[in-house]
Amino acid sequence: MDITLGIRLKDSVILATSKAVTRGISILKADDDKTRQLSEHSLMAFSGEAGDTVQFAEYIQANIQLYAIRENYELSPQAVSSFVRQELAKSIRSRKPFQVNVLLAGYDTHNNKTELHQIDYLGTKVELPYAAHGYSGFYTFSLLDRHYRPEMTLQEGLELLKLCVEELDRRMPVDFKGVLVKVVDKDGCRDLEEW
Amino acid sequence: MGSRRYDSRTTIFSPEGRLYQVEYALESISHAGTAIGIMAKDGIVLAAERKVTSKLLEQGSSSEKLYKLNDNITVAVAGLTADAEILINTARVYAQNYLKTYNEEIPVEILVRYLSDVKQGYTQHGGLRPFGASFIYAGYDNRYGYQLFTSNPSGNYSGWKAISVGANTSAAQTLLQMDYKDEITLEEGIELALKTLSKTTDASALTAERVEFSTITKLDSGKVVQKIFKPQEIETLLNKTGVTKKEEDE
Amino acid sequence: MSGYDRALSIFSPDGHIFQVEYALEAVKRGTCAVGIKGTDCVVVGCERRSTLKLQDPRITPSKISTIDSHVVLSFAGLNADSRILIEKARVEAQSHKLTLEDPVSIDYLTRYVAGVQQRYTQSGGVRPFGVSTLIAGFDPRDTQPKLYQTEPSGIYSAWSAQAIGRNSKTVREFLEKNYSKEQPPASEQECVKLTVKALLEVVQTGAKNIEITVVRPHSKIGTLSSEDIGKYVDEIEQEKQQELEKKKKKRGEN
Repeated sequence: MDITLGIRLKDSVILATSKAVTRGISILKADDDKTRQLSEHSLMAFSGEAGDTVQFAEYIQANIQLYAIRENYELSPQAVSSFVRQELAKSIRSRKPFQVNVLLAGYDTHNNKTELHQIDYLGTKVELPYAAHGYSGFYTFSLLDRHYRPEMTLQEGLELLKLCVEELDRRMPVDFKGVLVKVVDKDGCRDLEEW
Repeated sequence: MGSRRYDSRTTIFSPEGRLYQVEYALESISHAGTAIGIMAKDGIVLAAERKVTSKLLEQGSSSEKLYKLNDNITVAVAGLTADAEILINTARVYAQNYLKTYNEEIPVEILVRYLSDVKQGYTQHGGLRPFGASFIYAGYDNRYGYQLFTSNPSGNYSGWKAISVGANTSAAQTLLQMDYKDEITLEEGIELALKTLSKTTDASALTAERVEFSTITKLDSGKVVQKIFKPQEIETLLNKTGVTKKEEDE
Repeated sequence: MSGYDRALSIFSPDGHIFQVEYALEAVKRGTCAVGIKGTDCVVVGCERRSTLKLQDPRITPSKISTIDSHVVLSFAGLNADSRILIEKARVEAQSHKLTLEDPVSIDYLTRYVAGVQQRYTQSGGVRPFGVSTLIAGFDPRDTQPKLYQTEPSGIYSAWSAQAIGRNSKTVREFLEKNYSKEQPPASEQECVKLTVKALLEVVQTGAKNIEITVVRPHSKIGTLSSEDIGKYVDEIEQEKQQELEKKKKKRGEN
């Protein structure tokens, strides 16, 4: 029942992830961070099998950082998404596949453009204006379909996100303890404490 | 022969800290046909001279000195062609693997470094001789634009504006240093390459069957074009630059 | 010599491992590298391989490499060998961070690099690395500068200031005269200046053949531009000139 939501705007990309960690019928934690920063301008949100998620995310993070140190150069968000897809595609064909779904938000500093990629545990990759994994899509896509515009500002994007989270609060059968919101833009990645 | 004891195995230092097998490989390359690379502001030229052994040899359309490594890197070879082709094959595989992983063409330096690391391996691990081939790489990527690199059997590599490898390289390098300008155009680069080659060749004159020639340019659409010239096109170029047999006639 | 220096790295009857000793000769033939600890920084400088006229400075590889965001490595010896060590060090740094959450300490990284070098003196069918390294940086959450050296044999050691490579003896003697452990260079500028001055002992061609990188606490690594180094070189030359004139004057007065 984890929530991962992404909205690509004109100059930035928003990622929102639920703060609850649940196991069975219990909530274990209410301030979880289901994201990892991969490079200066790319951020990954993940959901899926507990344990697999963080293991996979940090493995990807280490590899992307290794590339940056080696080359003194940041991989483009497109290249990062391709790499992640390949890792998941290799994993699904292995003895014990990772059960992880991710959203990748990035800012391409070379072409000055924002990107949002959705990749599932099968290795299916799509570039999208807005995306979600799990149940959260069922409750939010109608709102996003109705209100999303590609040239939205961050302010407008956050208002749209607010509508989505309100809907999730109303409809989700469990308390997901609110969402953690992060933004990627030309200046890098940052948390939005108040939004 | 102070060196005799230390030159029979590649992986061994001499008392002065030298690797004789590597130095001998370099020596073998200094007898190979010359290759020249010149970086212009709007493209890169690669030119190479092949040693024609007999009139009766069929000069196939396939080149033996110039190879495409992928869609935006061409390489010129000096040294043992058989050794070079092994490296070229590994380079091609590596470049495609990078493309498959990142959905982007491999940056030039990463490919150059990879091949240099392979070469280095053969100077350190037992029982193997080094590769007897030097390369000039001409390529384009988004980070640095046009780039020109060389690598040699030791596994060292470096970046250049104009460079030659193979026979008479020091003479060629002096000529390049004299005539190279930072704002050189591709047109001028082509001329400089052919002139340098014609002045340093051991043969009496340059002929189309002795020369291999290519350019790499980027179109406005962003597409990188590698052109490996056909014999007739080289003939035309030679005539145009006036470095062909004319000099003999004069 | 009786064949004990022919097989890769084995003991001779009098206890030498010749291949390792010869590897050190390869180091001595490599361009010079210097590391100096300041009070709140470490400066690493090196002699750049001869930049020939037609070389492309944008893409010619540097002799100082970042291993992780808080540590750099410089070397003297065979360039191609050094790349292999650097690659192994970088992978180890990331892997360490992945498994232990903390970035590598400088001491750990040095031991790792030296360990790799040692392995190549004792494994079958390989020659040792013809490389000595200087590893400089700050441990995570620490403000104490660290500087280590490794050698082809796998020996490693900690230093306040050290030089390796061609003419390193001259530079070391200069450092022994001009560096005080009790009073290390107080500011970053002074530390850079001492590094440049040390390198100028052996580099004739001035700023364009010098590379300088400064490591500060909390993963702040900065590389000086050729112009910046030029300013230090000019300053040092000027001081030398003034001193010379002073001496002349004194002689005149006498």
